[in-house]
Amino acid sequence: MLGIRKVRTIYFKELLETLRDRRTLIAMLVVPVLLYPLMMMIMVRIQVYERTELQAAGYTVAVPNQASQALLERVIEQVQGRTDTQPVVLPEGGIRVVVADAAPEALGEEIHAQVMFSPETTDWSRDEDAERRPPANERIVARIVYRQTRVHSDAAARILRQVFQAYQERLVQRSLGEVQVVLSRVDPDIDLERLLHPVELTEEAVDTQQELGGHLLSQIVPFILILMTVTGAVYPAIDLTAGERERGTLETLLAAPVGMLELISGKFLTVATIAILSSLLNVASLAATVRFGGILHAMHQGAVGEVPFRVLPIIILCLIPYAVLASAMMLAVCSFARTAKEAQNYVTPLILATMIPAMVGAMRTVRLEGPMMVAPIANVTLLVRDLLLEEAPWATTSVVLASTSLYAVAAIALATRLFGQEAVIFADAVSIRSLVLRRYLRPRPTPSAALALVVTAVLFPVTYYAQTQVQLHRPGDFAWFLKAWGILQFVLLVGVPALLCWYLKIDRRTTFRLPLPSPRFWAVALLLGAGSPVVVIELVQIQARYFHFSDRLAELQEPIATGLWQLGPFLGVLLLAVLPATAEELLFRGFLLSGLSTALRKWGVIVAVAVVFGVFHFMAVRFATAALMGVLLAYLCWQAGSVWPGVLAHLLHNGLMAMVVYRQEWLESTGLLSFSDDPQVLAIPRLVVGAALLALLLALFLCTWPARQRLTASVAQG
Amino acid sequence: MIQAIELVKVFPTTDGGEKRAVDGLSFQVRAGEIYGLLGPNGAGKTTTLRILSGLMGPTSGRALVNGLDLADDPAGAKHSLGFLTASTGLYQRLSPRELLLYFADLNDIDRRTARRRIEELIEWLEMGDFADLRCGALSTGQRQRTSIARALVADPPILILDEPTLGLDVLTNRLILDFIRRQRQRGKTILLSTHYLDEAERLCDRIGLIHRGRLVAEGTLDELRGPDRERRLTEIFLQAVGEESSAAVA
Repeated sequence: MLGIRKVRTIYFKELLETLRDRRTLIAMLVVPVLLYPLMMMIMVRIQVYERTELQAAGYTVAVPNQASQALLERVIEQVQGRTDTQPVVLPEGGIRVVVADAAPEALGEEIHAQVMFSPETTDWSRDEDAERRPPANERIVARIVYRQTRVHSDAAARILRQVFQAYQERLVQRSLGEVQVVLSRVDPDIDLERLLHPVELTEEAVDTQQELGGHLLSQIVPFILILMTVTGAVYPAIDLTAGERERGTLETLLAAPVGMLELISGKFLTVATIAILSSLLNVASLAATVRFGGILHAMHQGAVGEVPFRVLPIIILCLIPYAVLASAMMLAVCSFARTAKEAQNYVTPLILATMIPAMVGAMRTVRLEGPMMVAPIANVTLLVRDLLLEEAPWATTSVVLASTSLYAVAAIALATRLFGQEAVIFADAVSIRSLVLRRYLRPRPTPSAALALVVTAVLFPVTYYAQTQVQLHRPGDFAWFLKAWGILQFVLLVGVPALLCWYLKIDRRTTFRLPLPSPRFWAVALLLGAGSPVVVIELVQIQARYFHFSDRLAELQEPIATGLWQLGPFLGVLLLAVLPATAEELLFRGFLLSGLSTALRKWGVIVAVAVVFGVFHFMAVRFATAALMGVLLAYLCWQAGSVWPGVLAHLLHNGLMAMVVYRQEWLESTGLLSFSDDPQVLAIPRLVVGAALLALLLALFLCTWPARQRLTASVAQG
Repeated sequence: MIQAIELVKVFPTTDGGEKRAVDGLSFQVRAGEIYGLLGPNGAGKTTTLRILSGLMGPTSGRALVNGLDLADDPAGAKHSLGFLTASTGLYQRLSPRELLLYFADLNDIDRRTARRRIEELIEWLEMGDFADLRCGALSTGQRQRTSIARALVADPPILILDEPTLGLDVLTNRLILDFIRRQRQRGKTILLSTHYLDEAERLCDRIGLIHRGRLVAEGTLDELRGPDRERRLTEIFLQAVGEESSAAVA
């Protein structure tokens, strides 16, 4: 017989224990209380955004001749703003009807759809008596040609469909009003079918089979791949971290002569391998299902559709950094957990959280440009979508891959940091508070590599979004942009790390490398700052020549020039040279360099700082030059043991670059530079290039000089 | 060979306070001796051993192993260490032989030497019957023998053993104690923590009694006994702990 009392006793004991497991409770509450409303909100926002975006756009419809143009314009005009028929909400950007012969592959960007009328329709419309003719005789036979794989073309076809439908209603209403008497006598001459359906509309989607296949896949594949890749990383991440800790094998492992970075790297590679294998299997299985399962056929009502197999290797290639990021994120989260159960509690919200950006990435109207290129996870989703649509340029792809790699490195660093924490390893002895409460933190001379990387990785998209928001706040007001962004950038890049240093009891003087250097490094800074702009300009021009980056450069330079003219030289130099140089040097060559130097050796640190500095300059066009400057400035900072020479070199570099824009004419008059007819091409006299290179070489020599001297001395002694 | 110099370890507790698990502890384990660290539960033995094996950093003080400061050169110090606790787990899906090879690799031992060493350990610790079974299928005694082999696979000069015989049957217990003696004969330095005072009496060259994170008595068994040669370690222990407690109350 069931003992109710004992059941109750067990029930209350279990409940008490469960409720005392605070971490489980938090995970239990966070998911439903925060995450679901957030996901719903975002989904609604996405739909509203997509609708608004399509409604706000302007559409161009091509027709083959002027008669068709007149007819279509009349049809649109007749339905616009009418209330007696089904209301048609025409797009805010309007429908422009142009006479053009659009090839099917041209539909989508410039021309969104094409409308073809039958000859008798246009003949009728040309009739001068058309307006007086009884409407019962009016008949329109039209065909809409569009591409359903292009979002705006698809939207244009939908709008045209509504327009013709409303027009048909209107015609029917008019006809019925006029012919009711006739009808009552049942005149056999009246064609009822024609009377009730005066508009005969057909549609033709001209997408190729490959496009249809790619389009269908782009709707579902990115989301599934992102989700499955994360899911693939879950089990190994839990087993290799919290599982190992729970089984009691971690202590023995940590007592072995293995560094924490080696340990986490080995574990990370395992998780990443399994996540990548999971991605590969998912891609292969999805492709096979779509190819052989008849899904495309079913979705496209008869059109077969083909899988664009040639893009699959590129998709796999792009998923690798994502799998790496997913593995690193999972590892970081699980490293914090003390038991496998606890890890599962953390992993569930994380998986759901990755779905939000993945959903954003599934939107058809969102383009992979601007801030979206650096939005974690969403950028990979969009990239996979665009690859399937065969619309992803290499420059964009490279930014997505670089930013994803940066996030992955930061997540690995975070995992390393968390995994080794005493509070996590020895849950029996140490409270987790010791990790976060300031009073338990021990003063440290520099941040850890993990902290430095995580802060930089978080600042990366934040600065990007902030910059975009500042730009959008007052579009076209470049002077305001330079002022607002100059200050905001300083607050973000210097304020945030400085605040963290204070809270975590990290010495700001050593972290930001604030001590003054020996005097000769000022000379190095002057030489570097004076010589580098010429080299950078030359490099930019080589890029422009071979990689066709010039258009984007022009876009970048124009607002700077305009803003500078409005601000004048003093404020211009402060906002374009002094503030950014100081902020970037303190973040990259101060905070990040100090942090990385706890985990890497000299050249590892210099290269890593330079790469992150390059990635931070957002656009692929600036990566190479920024990374080159990054190497030079990091080397200078390392050798000098101080950030200040780098600040001087950087501000001199920025100032001179601004001068090229601001004092273009003066520079030409001095013969230092000359501009050809093409504003992108700067001709720098060979003498100037030679002098700049010499300055750089001299700077490098002065920088390395003490090491050489020591080496010479030791050789002499030997 | 092992030196604890003014070790202090303070833990934040869950109620927001602090606990001094180790409180200015200093002692030295000489080369080739077995040093027993004894104390009641919560005395700070495990924390001390964790600090000395490089698993934890001290709040202050220094821990030296084979002359190397664990704070400065943790990898170098760990190369000369073998660490074993009663709670040591094993990789369930590896066999003892695979597990030993894994730890030999982590200790930078070449494959040939490692294989030879593993065969020796399997023979010494009578592991032949289960060396190729998965660890998940082993009994408690077999698991502990595997753990000991794991601690010795790199043939480190120093062994830190935290309750190595806890929960073992009589036969395995004897096997392990004999093995520890043999290690001393081979010149190894051993720091041993145990609850079994008779074990300490039989094994240890010198003994340190620890209470509330502090060393309350230290010496050879004879030195600790004083003039009364018949005194058992239990009595000495209770007396030392009692004196310390009285002093703390006073």
